[in-house]
Amino acid sequence: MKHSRFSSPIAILALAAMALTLAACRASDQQAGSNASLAARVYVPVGKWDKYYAFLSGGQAGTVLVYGIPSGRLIRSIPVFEPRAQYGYGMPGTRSYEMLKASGPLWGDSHHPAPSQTNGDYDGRWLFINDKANTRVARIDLTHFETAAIARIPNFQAAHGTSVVPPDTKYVIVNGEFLAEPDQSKGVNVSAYVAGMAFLDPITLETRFEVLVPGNCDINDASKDGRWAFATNYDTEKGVSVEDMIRNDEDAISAIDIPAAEEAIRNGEFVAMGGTKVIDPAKTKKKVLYLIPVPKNPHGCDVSPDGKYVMASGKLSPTVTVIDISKIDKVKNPRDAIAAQPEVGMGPLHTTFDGRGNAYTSLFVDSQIVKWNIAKAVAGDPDYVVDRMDVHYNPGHTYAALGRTRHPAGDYLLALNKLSKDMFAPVGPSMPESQELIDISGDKMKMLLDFPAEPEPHDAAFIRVSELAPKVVQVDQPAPNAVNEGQSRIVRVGPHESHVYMTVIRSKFGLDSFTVHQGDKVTVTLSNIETMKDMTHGFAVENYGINVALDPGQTREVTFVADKPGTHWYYCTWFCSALHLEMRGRMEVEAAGQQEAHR
Amino acid sequence: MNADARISNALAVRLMLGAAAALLAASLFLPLWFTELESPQYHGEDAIVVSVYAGRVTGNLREVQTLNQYVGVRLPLDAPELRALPYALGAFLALTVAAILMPAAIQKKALVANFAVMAAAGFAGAALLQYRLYQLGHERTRSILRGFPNFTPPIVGSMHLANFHVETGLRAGGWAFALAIVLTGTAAWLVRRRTVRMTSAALACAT
Repeated sequence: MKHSRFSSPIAILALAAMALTLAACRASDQQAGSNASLAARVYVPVGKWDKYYAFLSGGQAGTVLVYGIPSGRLIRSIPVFEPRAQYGYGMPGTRSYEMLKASGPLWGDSHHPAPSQTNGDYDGRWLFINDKANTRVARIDLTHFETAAIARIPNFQAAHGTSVVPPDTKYVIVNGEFLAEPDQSKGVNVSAYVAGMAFLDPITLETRFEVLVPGNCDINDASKDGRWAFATNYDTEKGVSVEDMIRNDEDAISAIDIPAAEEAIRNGEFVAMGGTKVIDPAKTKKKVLYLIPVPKNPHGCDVSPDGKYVMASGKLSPTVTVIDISKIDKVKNPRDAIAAQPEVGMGPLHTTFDGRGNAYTSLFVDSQIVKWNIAKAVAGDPDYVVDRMDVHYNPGHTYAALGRTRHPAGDYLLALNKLSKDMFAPVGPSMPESQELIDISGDKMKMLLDFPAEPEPHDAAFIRVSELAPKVVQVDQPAPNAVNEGQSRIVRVGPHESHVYMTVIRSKFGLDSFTVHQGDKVTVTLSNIETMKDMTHGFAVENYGINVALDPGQTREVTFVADKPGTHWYYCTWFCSALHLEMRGRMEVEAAGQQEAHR
Repeated sequence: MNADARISNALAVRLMLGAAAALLAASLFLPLWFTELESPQYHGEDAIVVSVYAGRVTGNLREVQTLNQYVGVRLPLDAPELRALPYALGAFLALTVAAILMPAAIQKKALVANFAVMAAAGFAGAALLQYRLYQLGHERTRSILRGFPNFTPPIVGSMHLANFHVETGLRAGGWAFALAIVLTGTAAWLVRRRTVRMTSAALACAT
């Protein structure tokens, strides 16, 4: 009995321990099982393609990063406002360098990628991207994933919000965010400070006209029918200190009536300034600008896919202001255009859509994405919040697949988090940015994947791989100035000028060597005559800072002064074949005086 | 025996020769023979296909030439038999058309001769092609890849060559020529008989 009395508690303890162990095992099995099923949702088998190209702005790198979704694999980064050696972009002496240099500094701060649209859906032609630091905007040609044009926006400072005007990309609209005087030649003139919105030609990127808006213009969007351009204004006080910028309780969403602005231009109701036409909305016969009051310092500005509402995310207010677009020019009191102002949580920054009537708002302070039902919020139903999901940490933009088109996909949502803190192994004091991919196909959101990015993506746009990939060119047709096979040569075009023409193909430059005179202006025209995709070649000249990259079929030119005499090897920079290392030649620069001696 | 099922000897022969002429004319413009090279890096739309037409060779010859820097194969693009092909096929076409128009008395001999010449040309062509394929794999200008053995691709068939799977075979034009030979031979045989009962298969063949 003693024995049994003694042993009972031990047996109970042992049983309890066993039960606990079993429970723990089951929990970890379940965890492993659910991890495996989540992993399967984002796994793309070897050799298969992702569903979406995700274009993420590269922030201070002045690039656009292209990730595959759902895998989160980095596929490409497209240099826009910064030189990039591996693509020969912005390398001295080349056309892309001249384009970049002519538009401003050799770096930028890109925030908002905006794909071109046809019929309100992405058409896979172009992607527009701003440079906040140098008031520029660029157009990327999506057939080549290559920057095709860059332009500076006159009169304004800080090109921020960037969108296209649906349905057919009539304009690219870019916000001039910071207050500043348009004419800076006479020095500081605080009383002349303006901000506003620029309307750009999508091909030339020429600013067709600008509309002044009281206060800083932050994020923008346009109505689906192309009638309205919207911007959030977070400084209607026109303050220049933080205290002044947040003084008033209300700021505004500004709504620009695009046809009315076009009419004002036709009627000559503008001032010619900085090479463009600037409309002061206070001085037009027909009303061009409507201001709808929203809680102070709003941030995100997003039009719902059905085109009914434009939404200002509150930032300092826990609300999203839902404005009925159809009422903007109908109501006497602009406040009456507000359909709802649901409370969603702390620090709402951006709102995106799934096409099933739900909005998703990033909550910077709460570190959450909140899913809420638009119709319920508008109807005054208190039960409009559907779900919340923690993200890590402090999300800025959030983007649901195709959420800015008329037909959102409703499958994936990306949270672009501003801080990653402990999410990745430390890489020094500066941490990578954190992106989190969330499954939004069901009622409840499901966290699928996180992946890092170099600092720092601000915003994203997805384009379906099935729609864009067939339009991507991989082997170019020869250009009119292409060097044909067997036509590599050097031509002395002047007493101090040489022109070298060379073909490039595995594993040989068209010329094993060429000779120029010291001080010659040398132009080298190179044609990659490969017809097989992915056979990119490079042309780097040792100790000359010259670097050209050529994709199959492409012809590129580089011009430089041969100021250093001697032998300078040129070689192929892209590992192209088993004879890659042998793919080189010599530029012989005869010293000044040497050529006279030859004569 | 239904009278409709009987068709005059002369008409049957002329229908066949007409078909043979059409096939010969087509073979002047259609690809005769092909080779396709596939490897992990060259598959699907990137597979290297070379097609031989009457008088010309098409396909991604530049890529073949580029790869040749390793194996030193010399493509016989200037082979005299390649240049002679359109003339030979044109001559067979002319002979066939002439045979259609001939009076029955001499048609018999002409057809036997036509068949003999075309069949001989077919065999000679195949033999020449096999010789060129042997030459291509054996008389290489250089081979910088060590351990790359000599090779002989088949006229019709497949083989492995380094990391490539090589397929060869007749294309529409080659089949058309072969069928024209068969039709000419059949016509030469039929012309000896007074009448022929046309089966539906023969009709289909002739038309």
